[in-house]
Amino acid sequence: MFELIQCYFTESSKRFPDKIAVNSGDNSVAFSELDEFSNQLARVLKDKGVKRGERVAFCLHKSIKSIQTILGILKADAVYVPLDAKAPPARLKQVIADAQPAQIVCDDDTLPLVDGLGKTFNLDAEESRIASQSQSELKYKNTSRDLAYILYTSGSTGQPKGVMITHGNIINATDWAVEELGITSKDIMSQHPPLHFDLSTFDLYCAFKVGAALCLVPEDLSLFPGKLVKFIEDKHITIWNSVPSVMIYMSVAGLIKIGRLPSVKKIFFNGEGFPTKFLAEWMKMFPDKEFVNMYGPTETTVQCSFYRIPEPPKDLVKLVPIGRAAGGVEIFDVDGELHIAGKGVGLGYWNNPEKTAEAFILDPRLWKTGRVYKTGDLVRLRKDGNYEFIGRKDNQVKVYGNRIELDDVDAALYSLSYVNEAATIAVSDNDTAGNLLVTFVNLKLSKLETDVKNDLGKILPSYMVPRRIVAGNFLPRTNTGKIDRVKLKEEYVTGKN
Amino acid sequence: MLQGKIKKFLESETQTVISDTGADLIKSGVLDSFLMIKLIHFIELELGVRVDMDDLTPENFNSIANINKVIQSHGNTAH
Repeated sequence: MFELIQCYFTESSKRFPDKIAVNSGDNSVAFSELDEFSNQLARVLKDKGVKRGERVAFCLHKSIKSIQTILGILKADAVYVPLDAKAPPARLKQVIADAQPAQIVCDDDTLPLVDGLGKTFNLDAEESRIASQSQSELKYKNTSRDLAYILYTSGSTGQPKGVMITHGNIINATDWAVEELGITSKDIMSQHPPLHFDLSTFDLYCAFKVGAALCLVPEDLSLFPGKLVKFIEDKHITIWNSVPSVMIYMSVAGLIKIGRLPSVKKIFFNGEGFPTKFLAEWMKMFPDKEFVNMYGPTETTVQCSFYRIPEPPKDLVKLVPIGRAAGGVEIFDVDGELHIAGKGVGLGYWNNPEKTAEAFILDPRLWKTGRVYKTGDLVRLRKDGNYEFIGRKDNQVKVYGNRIELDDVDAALYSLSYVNEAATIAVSDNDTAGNLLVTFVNLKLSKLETDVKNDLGKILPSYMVPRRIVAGNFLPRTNTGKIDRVKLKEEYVTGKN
Repeated sequence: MLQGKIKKFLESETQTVISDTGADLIKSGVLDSFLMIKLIHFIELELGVRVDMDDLTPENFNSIANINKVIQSHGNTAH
């Protein structure tokens, strides 16, 4: 039993020193090499004054370097905060101002994105200093109760929230996943989600624990399904884990055919519901592969429930269940809202006791103690003990698996001087069955849709910029005076707008 | 001709003016996977050119000019 997640890696490096730990498409690195590199990086970070429990952010494109950086930060007893290198400067600034990192790790490519926002640590500039350090193991002061990472998610007030996750949280999730899902050192695991997305921690820590190879999927490939399928085949990936949108894209492109993806044995998806007609197509094409729906908010560490799908679903409308609790976790509903208790529950939101108190509440069940996380997800318990996802209590939606508070998009619109009123809704896209955002605005002066989008692109990551911006004179109201999003959606879907 | 149609389609979908047909649509974030699907449908259904998934690469599909080039080359070899 380990207390700290970097120990997974070091242990695997002792068992399989020469085995490939990370393959980035063009380059690969062995367990022992990466273990030693990250020891060296940890030493330099400590020399720079990084102390136990301090946050160290990093802004890097996905690469072996970014994995080395995560390990280096953990080995310095610090907390890693992944930044989205594709986010606009205003968003990066918000996250950095909130996280107050002791250092921001970057490289020559990404330095311009974070320059001036804090103390930067350029890996390229520090290369020789890192290489001159001792490669030996470090002694850690952290315990399983200390933070391992803070991940930022969309917040309803326009300010992203930093979710605090401990080493113990991840160890619980990883130890369970490896056992239940049968992941071994022989596996080659895909690493598709970006590192600022909590889904990525599943790939990383499962692979580190068992000594499996982690195959970093180049970011651009998500747009090119033919290349992506070929990449999975060429790299002999055995476990695929992603948001459903990517898999739907492969379906729509006509690539899901008998005989493709021969090396893949298990397919896990998470982050959003998988539209059932596409899931059924995948399962019919690949009857020998295992399909598991994973569910869990960032706040409770990657997955807290799972459902192994026994056969291609017959009902093509209803989503497959989110299933039963994962190990060390309890899930239950209070008036239809899913609550999560147990070892996966994180410590709350960084620097935000108010939001933490709202979502991380005392266990409402009789004779139970401890904190539980109120998910805001509405669910129904089936007779067979599996939960089904019904919808959201609030205005949170998923786009390509990215969690978005519609109020966060509206807050960005209201920050523009020419916006009087704004209301964003999510509508279903016919081609992909995924969500896309549409915003209705009332403007003080007339503006081209293009200009509004450009202005938003300076504040929000691109997946949060609405696909359509519809300007009008007034927005419909409910009888309590709120903007009537239901009516807006009806009107949009029926083509009245 | 084809280039103009692709440009018009992308501009109307994104509600942005794409003045430079050589501009990198992936780096600038204009092309995301939703739009890529729509673009493929458009090329196949409206322009009548079958898009071979092997041609759908970052080099071929990163700008209007390059998309045009790959479609033209298919038009020439079509029976």
